[in-house]
Amino acid sequence: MSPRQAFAPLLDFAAPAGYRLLPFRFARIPGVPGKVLVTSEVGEFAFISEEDLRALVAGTLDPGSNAYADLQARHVLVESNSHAAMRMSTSKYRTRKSFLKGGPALHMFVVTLRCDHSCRYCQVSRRSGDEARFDMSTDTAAAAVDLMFQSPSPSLTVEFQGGEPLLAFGRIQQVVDLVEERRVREGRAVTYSMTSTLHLADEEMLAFMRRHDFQLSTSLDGPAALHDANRPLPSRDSHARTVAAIDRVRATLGHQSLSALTTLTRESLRHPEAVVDEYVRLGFPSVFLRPLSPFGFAAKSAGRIGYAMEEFLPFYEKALAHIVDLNRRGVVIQEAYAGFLLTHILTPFPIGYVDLRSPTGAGLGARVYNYDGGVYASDEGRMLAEMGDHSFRLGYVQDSHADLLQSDAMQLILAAGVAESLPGCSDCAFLPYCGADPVFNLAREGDPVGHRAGNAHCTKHTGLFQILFRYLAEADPEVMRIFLSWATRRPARGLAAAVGEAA
Amino acid sequence: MPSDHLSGSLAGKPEIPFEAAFSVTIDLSVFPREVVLRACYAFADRCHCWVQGDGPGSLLVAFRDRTGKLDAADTKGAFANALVDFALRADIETRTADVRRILVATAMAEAAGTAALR
Repeated sequence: MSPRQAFAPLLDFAAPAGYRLLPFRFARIPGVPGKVLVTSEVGEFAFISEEDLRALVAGTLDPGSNAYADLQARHVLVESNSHAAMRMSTSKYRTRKSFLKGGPALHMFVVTLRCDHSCRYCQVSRRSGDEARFDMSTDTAAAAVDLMFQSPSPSLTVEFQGGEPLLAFGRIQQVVDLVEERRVREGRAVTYSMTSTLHLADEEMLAFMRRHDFQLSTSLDGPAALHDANRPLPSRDSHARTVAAIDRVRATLGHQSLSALTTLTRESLRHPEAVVDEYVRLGFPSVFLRPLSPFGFAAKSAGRIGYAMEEFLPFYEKALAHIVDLNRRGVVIQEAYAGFLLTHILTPFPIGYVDLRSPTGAGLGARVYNYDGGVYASDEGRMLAEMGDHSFRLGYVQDSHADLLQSDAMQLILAAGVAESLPGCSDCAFLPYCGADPVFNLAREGDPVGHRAGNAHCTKHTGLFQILFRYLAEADPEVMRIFLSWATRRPARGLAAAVGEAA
Repeated sequence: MPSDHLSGSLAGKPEIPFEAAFSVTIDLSVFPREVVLRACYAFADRCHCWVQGDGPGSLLVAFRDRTGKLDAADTKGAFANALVDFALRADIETRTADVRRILVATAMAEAAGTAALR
């Protein structure tokens, strides 16, 4: 018998020559010269040179190069004997699409269309405060709660909308009471939230909201002059009332129960730093810089207060730079939408923001129960209805969950709501992080698929991704720490060790 | 590679339905029809593109300015680069189609299985 060899030759342990590609897309980012952004099907990314891109596709990328290691680590290429890469990619893909499980989790109750404000950009086509026929009835509210519980989602968010929902506080109480009766019996987790000016919130209302741990959101468009111009009241003191309401809510429900968001008009675009500074002054940890939407009175007022996305993007870039600079100086302030996008870019986890999903969240992740009993796939869908277009009405509160999913409106949404199958989107390097918005496309272009060239949703998101990826290409460690804290909702100071991993 | 020639109606061929700033002829043995169409789609923000056959194995693409700011030389160069990019994308998609199918199918099947186990 021949002597047994102590060690096998080194060559026996070498990986087989060559690699194969996993699905990926690529794009060039303006302001990042000489580099190409490569994004995998599961959303991992790397910047490589043009030469490396050509070599990658040709199958000749040098296995000893940094680019090879980066792309292998990010599952853009895999050596032929590796099953682990496929397992990991599969797991990340499943995680990214995990929002598909469980059915609609966000349920919006439009308890009234009445409002005491006259905001120039009102997207809900509000009614004046004395028109009670625009309130949700007792029977509609009860039927809507029944329908909500037909959703299989183990956790439900009940969000009250308007108009000004506090004008129908009795209906809010009724819905909460009905939900509380069923919640424990059915073993569901329920969160309550509300979007409101909060001007009408008295002690009784605030105590009720504290008992049920409401999460509140209010509008704050910036400093007083800007806010009052956008959101006029006869008393001309909307900003002062908003600040007083913020103080009352914080005193009763706590600081973390309240967030705010802007609606940006053409005048707002002249004041990026001032808008952010107002949020810092009032102690908000987050500002949501939200452009006008093409619904309701905003559509009618577009000539006076509107703007193209090409005008919004420079404003946003300045505001974001100011926010980053504030964070460098120790001021904790986040841009909320950047946080959503960075969660998608830097983690495999989906977010609760239904407009950034593929398949779209409309109808699948969210549902709106309108004051008149109509059930809509999204808040924008019911705004479109107030403008006379009921394309996205799934049905009525007397219908069943199955009826709504089989409705013509739901089929329309599904046909146009998967970004992976839309022209332009299917080629886009930002696809893993973005979403389809058939309601927006129908409102703007009369077509739920939309045409990518000139499509405002696409222009906006392409621009935002380019801004963020310019920062990510630079990979400044402090900026990366700030961005990672937004994506993971952890304080930046605890993330020093993690910064290198995210680059 | 694309070749350039003056726009206008060509003898025996369908008339281009608009006043084209310029047109290019594309060799389909280099860039398949699908790639040409995707490049034209990507250029729709700045140009109207009219696509028609131009003899066996060729496509004619005529460009009309949409913005009033079209620079013909820049646009031709950018379009040529876009053809290369979309050809790369088509190549990548073809070579990774099976893997993508397996990845998505496995991910979704495992999600259903996990829920069933729970």
